[in-house]
Amino acid sequence: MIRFAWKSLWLEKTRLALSTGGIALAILVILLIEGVFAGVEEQATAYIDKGKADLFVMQEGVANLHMASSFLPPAIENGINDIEGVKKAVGITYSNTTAEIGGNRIFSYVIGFDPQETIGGPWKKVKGTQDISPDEVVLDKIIAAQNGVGLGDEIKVMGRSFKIAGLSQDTFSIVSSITFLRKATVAELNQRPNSINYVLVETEAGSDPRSVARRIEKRFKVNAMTQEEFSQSDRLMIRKMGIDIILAMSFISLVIGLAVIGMTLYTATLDRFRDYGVLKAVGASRFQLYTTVAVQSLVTALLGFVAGLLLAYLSKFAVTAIFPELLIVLPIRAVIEAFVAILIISVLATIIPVRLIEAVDPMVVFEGA
Amino acid sequence: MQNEKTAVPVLELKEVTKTYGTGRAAVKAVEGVSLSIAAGEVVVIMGPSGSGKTTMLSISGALLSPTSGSIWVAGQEINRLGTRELSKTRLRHIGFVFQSFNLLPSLTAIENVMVPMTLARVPKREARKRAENLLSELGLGERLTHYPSELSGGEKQRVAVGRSVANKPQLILADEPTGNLDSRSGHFVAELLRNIAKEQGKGIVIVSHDMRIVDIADRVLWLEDGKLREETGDSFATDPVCKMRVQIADAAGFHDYKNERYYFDSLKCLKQFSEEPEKYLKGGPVESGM
Ligand SMILES: Nc1ncnc2c1ncn2[C@@H]1O[C@H](COP(=O)(O)OP(=O)(O)OP(=O)(O)O)[C@@H](O)[C@H]1O
Ligand SMILES: [Mg+2]
Repeated sequence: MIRFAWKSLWLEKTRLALSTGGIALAILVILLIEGVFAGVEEQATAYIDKGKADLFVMQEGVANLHMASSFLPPAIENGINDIEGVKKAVGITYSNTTAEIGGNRIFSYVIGFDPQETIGGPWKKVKGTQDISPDEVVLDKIIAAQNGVGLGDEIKVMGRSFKIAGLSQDTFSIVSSITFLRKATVAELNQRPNSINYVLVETEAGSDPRSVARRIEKRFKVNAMTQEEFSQSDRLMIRKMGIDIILAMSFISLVIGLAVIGMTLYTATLDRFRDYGVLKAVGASRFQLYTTVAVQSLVTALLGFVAGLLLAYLSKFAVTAIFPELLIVLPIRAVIEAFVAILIISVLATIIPVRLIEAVDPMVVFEGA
Repeated sequence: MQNEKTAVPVLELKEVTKTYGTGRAAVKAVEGVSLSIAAGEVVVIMGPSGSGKTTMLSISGALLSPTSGSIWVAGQEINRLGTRELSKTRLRHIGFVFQSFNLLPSLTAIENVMVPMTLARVPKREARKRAENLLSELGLGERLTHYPSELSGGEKQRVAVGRSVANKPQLILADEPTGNLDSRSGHFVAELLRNIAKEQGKGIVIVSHDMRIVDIADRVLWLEDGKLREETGDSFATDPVCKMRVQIADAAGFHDYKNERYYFDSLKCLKQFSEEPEKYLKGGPVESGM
């Protein structure tokens, strides 16, 4: 019977192609929207996730980078460096502001870093240099391209002009891109020349970042968060700020996509109704019928899933080539979720029509063709 | 010829009634039908459209349950069985032949014949061999790996006959088996069914509108408004001119000649006969009915 199931699938190539195609498109939409969502989140917290810092120390009561302002006394940097388990603590200055390029204003996290340090600055190789002087800036590559500026051009940050000395990668975000200046420059622009905003901590190999954080909090009146905690907290904040809409879209696309898949499989099964009626008349047991229907649905669903996955990866590259600012991440988790969902749907889409077949009017086999 | 008639009928219907729907919409499709088919017997059931033939056949084939009455297949009362046993009964004891063939389009001729054996878990090698033999006997030795779409109507129906006997059932039920065939292939299929009944001792019930199929019947039953009556010899006659079998009640006319009454399919034949009776009676008077 498995053979019948298999052969009857392949015999009708158009029908198989249509069902597989429908499922593939549904999977594509589900994965892409989920991928855009994951991409936006990843971009938004790239500074926290991609740098080498294991801990982030900020003013007490503050728990975010996004839409937050934290001030710390500069001396705390040395104090933290003395704590057990800390390999290196580096202060950064920060402002959540806009940059002016040509006539355009662009939302940006402005990070003031120390070019001599290995943490706090751009984490991926910069075109030009990241060893900037106080009147130079490292700008995101995509922002530069979008606004038609390049190395040597001038942009304004908080009213002051800077020359683009470096172009950084992976620092773009739909929410807010990252612009790098010297640490002291940002402090001046913030009009708090004697403070820093966050301290980034690299912990000793083998020490637990969480307990180092507890030790820092014990010594100073600050909030110290691990990389994951800080990233998580920012993601939550961003969702509250409006990515909720993308999340809702992603959920809606999931529901619609699954419905499309379910209906595709259901229709494909109903199309073979007569064959099942014949099998039933000849004497196939309920189990044999279920097996036949299940094999057909599952094979169709799996083919559709694989095709959809391939399409999703292909369009990921295509989309990124056309819209470099759009990061699409296809996390394994999303792929597995889609897979489990499609398995459940195909089982449902199998059971429901088989229930109908069980009640099939035997006259179906007696009707003239 | 193993034409030994066993004491147990292969099919027995006792006072079977089937009512579709309820209340004012109720249709009594079959009413108080009793019937017994012996091994090796070919019974043809005729009747006008809507008289309940298909309903009766579905009930006999364990595809439809009756409103009342009992059905015995190969000595077992099937109207008390659950779905699982019913499909088992269909699989092992009953073979079906349908007007529209109902072959599985994705399977070749031989695979179609193998379907009931696969369902009955006959080992594949054995099933293949049996299917091959069956199809060769049915004159389809050269068509084993053809798909139904590559076969003529008559060939398809022969494959269907092969499938119906694959599990060596005692009972074969055929609904209008020649309904979609031209007269030559129809005749061929009818003969096949008769041979199967006679050589393999199977009971065969054929439902048909087709008068020509009456030739192969041991017994003709008439179903009208869901009620069964056995045809006696005098309800059928053969038109001596066009050689068509006619139902006496429906005959276009009759002509008495030498103490014998002849019935005609059309007035044209009647006219031809009345002009030159002897020309059409060369073989002696035509026997009427069965
Ligand atoms: N599923 C059903 N529900 C309700 N009424 C039905 C159903 N099937 C058949 N009938 C009715 O039962 C009666 C007998 O139908 P059946 O199909 O058995 O006739 P038949 O003798 O096979 O006719 P035909 O020669 O046209 O095939 C008809 O009046 C028909 O309308
Ligand atoms: Mg009918």
